[in-house]
Amino acid sequence: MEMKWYSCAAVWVAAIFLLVNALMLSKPFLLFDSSKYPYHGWSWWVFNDLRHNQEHYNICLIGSSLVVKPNSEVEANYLGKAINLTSYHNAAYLDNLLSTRFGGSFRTYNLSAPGLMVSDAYLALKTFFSSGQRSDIVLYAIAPRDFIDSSVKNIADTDSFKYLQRQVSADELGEFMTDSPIEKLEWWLQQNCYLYHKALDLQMALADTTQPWLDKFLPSPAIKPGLMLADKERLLPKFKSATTYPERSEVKPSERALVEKQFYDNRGEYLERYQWPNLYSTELKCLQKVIALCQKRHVQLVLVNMPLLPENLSLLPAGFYDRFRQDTMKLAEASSVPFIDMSRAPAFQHKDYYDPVHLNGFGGERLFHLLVSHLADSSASEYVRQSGLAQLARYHDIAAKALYADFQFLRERRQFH
Amino acid sequence: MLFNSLQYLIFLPSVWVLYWIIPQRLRVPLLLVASYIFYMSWKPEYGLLILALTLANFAGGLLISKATTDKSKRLWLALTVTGNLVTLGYFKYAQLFVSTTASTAHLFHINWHEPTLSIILPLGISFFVFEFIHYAVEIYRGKPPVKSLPQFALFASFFPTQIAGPIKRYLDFIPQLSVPAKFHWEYLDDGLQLILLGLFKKTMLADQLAIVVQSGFANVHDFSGLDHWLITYAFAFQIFYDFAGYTDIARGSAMLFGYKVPVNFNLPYLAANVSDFWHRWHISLSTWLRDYLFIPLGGSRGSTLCTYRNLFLTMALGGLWHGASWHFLVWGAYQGLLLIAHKELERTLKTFGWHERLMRSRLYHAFSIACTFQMVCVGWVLFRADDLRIALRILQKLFLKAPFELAHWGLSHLTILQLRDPQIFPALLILLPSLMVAHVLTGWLNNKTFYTNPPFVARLASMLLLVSLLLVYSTDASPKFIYFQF
Repeated sequence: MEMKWYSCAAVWVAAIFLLVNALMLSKPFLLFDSSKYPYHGWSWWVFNDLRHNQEHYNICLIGSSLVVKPNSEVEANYLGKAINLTSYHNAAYLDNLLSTRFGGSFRTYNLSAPGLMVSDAYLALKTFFSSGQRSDIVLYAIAPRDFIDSSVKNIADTDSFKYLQRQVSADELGEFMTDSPIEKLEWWLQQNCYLYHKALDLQMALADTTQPWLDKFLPSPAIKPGLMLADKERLLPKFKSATTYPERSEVKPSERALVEKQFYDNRGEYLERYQWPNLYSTELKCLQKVIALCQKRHVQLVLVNMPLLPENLSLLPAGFYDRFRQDTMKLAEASSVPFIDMSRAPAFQHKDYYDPVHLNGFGGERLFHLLVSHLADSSASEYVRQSGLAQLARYHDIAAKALYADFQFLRERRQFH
Repeated sequence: MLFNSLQYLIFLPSVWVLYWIIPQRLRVPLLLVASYIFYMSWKPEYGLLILALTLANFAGGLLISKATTDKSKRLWLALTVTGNLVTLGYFKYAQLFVSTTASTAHLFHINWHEPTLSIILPLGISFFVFEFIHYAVEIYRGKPPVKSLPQFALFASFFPTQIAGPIKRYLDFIPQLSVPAKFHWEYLDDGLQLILLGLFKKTMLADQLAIVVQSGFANVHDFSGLDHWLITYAFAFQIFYDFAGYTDIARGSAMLFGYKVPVNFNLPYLAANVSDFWHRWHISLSTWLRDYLFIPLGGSRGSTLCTYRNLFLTMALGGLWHGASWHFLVWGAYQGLLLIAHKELERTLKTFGWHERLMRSRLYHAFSIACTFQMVCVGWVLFRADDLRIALRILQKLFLKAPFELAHWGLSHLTILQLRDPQIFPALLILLPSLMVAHVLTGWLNNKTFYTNPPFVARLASMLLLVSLLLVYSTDASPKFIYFQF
């Protein structure tokens, strides 16, 4: 007997699937912890630290490795001890400079992560603000590599993007996906197919369910020496390759004489990364979104164009750097955002650099000094000063509240006795 | 485009809908255009290659059939087959020839500058060349040629089977193109079921096992002998599910249009001997090798020695077909030796009166299956290793180190258990026996009606489960199918 359409299981599968999908998208009954992620990349550590932190930060510092590298060395030197970048996300040296210059108190949270594109920075700021933090000032250090990177074909390809889009909606960036119809389809599926959207969470949930059974029935043998981290990386080079390990993230204080002798030539790497500026216009639009986000949140944004050595600038496509400067300055001007252009600063010398693009700790110190000096001369100076005072008042308030709580406790003890 | 890609997810339904709404006379041209789009999505210029081969073989077939004398028939056949083999030889084996010549020259201290060849292997060339050769030989043997060029072109380029088979027989496929097609809901049901099952085999099984296999074969020294046995078994199932999964998707895709293409696998790891294995593994290739290589060489018509020679040559060349590297030739030769050994064993056992009773016993049958599986797995080491050196290192670990490890430490020193993430590593000790049990179970269920023709609810539930699992576990960054490289 010929099969009728109502006997065809495929028809019912399609119908049931569409119905259940619509239901689950409108009323998701499975709740997942968005902060959970299969591996811990830079952005995961940044926000993990923030989650366990109740402090109020009036300054937010953000950028790529161009900020991470110098700031980490500055901090280690300033504090006189090793810092671990997976758990330390502050800028005490900068805070001190700001306090000295403006008075008041400053506390910076550093959202910077190596490889951060502007689109990632947008999501990072959005996540930061949605966590309840309301910084007064965002210092965003930019450089050409934040706008162009040949290893990134689509803004959603970066590790930071993949993690951050789980924390906040990235729907408004959907229009910036590449022109590739397949990638647009993938993006659409992620937004509109529940199982596809939650695939990672479901995979983690299933893995968590089976892990105890595996540990119970097939435990790891207790043999010495066991597998080291380097062994695992050699055996599985591409597996969770964006993981940042605490044991590899320590930065120690450095000696100037030694640091100035070290210089790493990464021109080959950057020549490749600068090859195709295909994402430039997209990232410029993302910078507009960053500016709009800060304006909406009544947060003072300050753009800082980072200094680069000529060896790195010469690797950019002809005319690109001037175009980049012009475009970012215009955007800043149009929105009355202070633009501090460090690229023209004669203060930076070859010995201030770790490589043609990253400052070392001593270059970082120079950077922060100049930054604070420029801030004092900018349109944002009064705002910065007020922020410092407000932060101080907050501390006094907290201190006052703590004193009052102590006083209450003592009074109750005396009454009791 | 890969079968497990989003491109195919758009391509297949689009072609399928168009196919069933357009008039009958436009369906073959539609499939032909779709097949060329499918092929050229990889590298547009190679569409010309398959077109040129199609035209040449179509003309060759007509010339063979129209030839009036035996001599001219043989001449046209020789030209057609040679043309196909030269094309295959150039694209697939030129680099091997050049590098082997260079190595040999170096061995004899001859100064020879190795030319740089930038030849990219056209996808599927091994498969459609074999289909063309089959066609030419069958015409020579008296079968009628295909009169319609579009039908012939579709025979070679049919997108479900274009890249990695099954190798079709024109007399099975072409007549289906002439039958006026009427849509049946069974086509959708059965086709989609096969596609989903194939994707499950590829995504959930083969790709997961690939993680272990890739790590094991790339880092031989880091794994113990016992680890390597597990990795070898993992590869045995990886290659099976990868290829069987691909074949299921190919068959399912063809079924959506109402076409049947050959079954390529029949529970190969339940084979009781190597000969049985080759009746169950890559069936379309092994029957092609039998019909167009083994039999023309003389088959088993001559003396025992001649038969063994023909077997050995057929399997060795069949091994080389899999890849332009000497370890594939060694693998093929190994299979040839196993077949010879099997024939010798059969001959020897026949001299004993009790051999038939022995062979009928279940214990012997189970023992045979286990031995055959082990021997096939050893062959897989030769197949998978990047070169002979690595293969020998692994074999050394399997046979010299593993027994010692088992005697002294048992499973306590398995590196696989120390790698907890991804879970496939420790889970291997549960997964591999489960896959073997599933293999046995499938063999038992294949005779049961509730399995071959399950009730509606069972079909619905299984398809829903497969769709859900695939959405959760699919990725567009999946490693490509193993047999695509041939």
